[in-house]
Amino acid sequence: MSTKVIKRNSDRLSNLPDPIIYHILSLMNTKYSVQTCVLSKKWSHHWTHIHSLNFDFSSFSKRVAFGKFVLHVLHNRKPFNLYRLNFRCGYSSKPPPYIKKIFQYAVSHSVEELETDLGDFPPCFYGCQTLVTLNLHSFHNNTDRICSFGFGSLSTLKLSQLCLSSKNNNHDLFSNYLNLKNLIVERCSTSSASENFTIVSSSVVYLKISSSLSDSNYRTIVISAPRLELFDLKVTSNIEIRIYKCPLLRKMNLRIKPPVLAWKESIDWKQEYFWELICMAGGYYNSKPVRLLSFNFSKGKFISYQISAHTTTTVSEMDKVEVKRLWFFDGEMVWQSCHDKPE
Amino acid sequence: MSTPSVSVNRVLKLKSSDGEIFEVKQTVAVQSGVLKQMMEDGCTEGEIPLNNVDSPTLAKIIEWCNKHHDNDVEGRVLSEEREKEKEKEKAADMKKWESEFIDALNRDEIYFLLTGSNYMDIKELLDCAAQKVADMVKGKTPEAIREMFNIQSDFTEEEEEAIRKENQWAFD
Repeated sequence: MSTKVIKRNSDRLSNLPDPIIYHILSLMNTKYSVQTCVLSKKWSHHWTHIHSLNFDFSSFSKRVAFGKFVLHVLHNRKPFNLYRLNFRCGYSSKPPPYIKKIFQYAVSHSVEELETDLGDFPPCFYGCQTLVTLNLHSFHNNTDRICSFGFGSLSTLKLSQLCLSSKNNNHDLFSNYLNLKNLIVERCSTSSASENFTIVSSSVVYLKISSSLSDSNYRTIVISAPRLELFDLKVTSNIEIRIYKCPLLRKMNLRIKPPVLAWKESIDWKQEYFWELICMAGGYYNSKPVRLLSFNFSKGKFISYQISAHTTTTVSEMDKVEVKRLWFFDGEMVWQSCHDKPE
Repeated sequence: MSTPSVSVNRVLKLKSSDGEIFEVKQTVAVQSGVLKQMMEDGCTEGEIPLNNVDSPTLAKIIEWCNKHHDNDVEGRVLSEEREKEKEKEKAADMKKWESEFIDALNRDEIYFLLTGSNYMDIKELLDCAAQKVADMVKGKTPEAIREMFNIQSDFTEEEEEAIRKENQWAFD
């Protein structure tokens, strides 16, 4: 019993091995990590050992103070490699003057992961050879430039709420990332007049695209990715998909929400749903090697489908209202309800 | 009970700092970098003393490892396609399980779990527990953190003022 009392009164956190303390301090907003310097003498310099930096302007009252803080941290952090940099400066047309220092620091400390809302990087950062993961969100310019440089070592690219632009009709957006394996595009729009959103990549294995009605201005997604194996698509409206040169694609997950509530009340919304799906799937059989597709409905009903090119496919609905079938006939897809099966 | 010949079913006997014996399947124990190394070196005969881990903590660590192990095995017997599907569902379930697991612990237990998982080299568990502490610390005033973790300040008023000034931008 007495040992319990001693345990309870001792300073648990400070007695942890230093590497664990550094790890804990690396997992929070760096402002809070630095604040631990006043806890006790032992803590006064713990924060200088953190392996990741998380800068967020919104935790500061003035931008000037944010800038001074960032420079203070860069100047005082011990010169170990930097694992992750998360830099949120809020959207502004003019990037802050200390940006160059941050990115020089990141490059010289072999940063592996970067998450930011910046519109563009200083030129020095484009030479970064250690970056593995890049997560960009909420900016409105210069994806053209970011994409045209590429990062040789990048394997995961996540783009959220961006306007994707490319001089060359979107064709070159991702082809410069030679080692890209995972590409995630969330709620992005295309800036060109073209209604096509084109993804060309010789290396991508996993592709995820999600969009809502308000942010996607493209009507057609065109994919040419010889290494692609998995494709997740989550959309609200009728978007056509054309898949070319994807011989390894073995699974697609499509999640489609009805765009308006009224759909559910229409007499046969399920039928509408199916037609929508079928329209969307119109491009699939351009890609003969697609062996398996699965569809998941997200609103209330969960329906799974498996469609194999040139083979009969069963579509079953979990709530057993009725079973429908989708058929492939030489590149033409036909759906029928179970009540009148084709012989 | 402890004489199976098939290596998959072989168990390790782990001895906690307070002398309690825990039996763990080898296939579960590989999640610990330290035990994995011992198995590779063939020195897992008899009881393995874990002098830095007490029995309540070791029980928690084994609970974690068993949970994460079950997940693996179930995944492996499924067909390839089903496996991928299952992985996604499992990932969501596992996140929930992990947060419930960690939220149910008091501060002492988390401390012992941190040192225990660090000692046994179980990275996922260490990360999970470290994130929990980070969430507890962030945004709190120094006074609140001191109180929460029973940290005694050994600064004089002047010293504290000096260090605060040195890092003044963090206190904006």
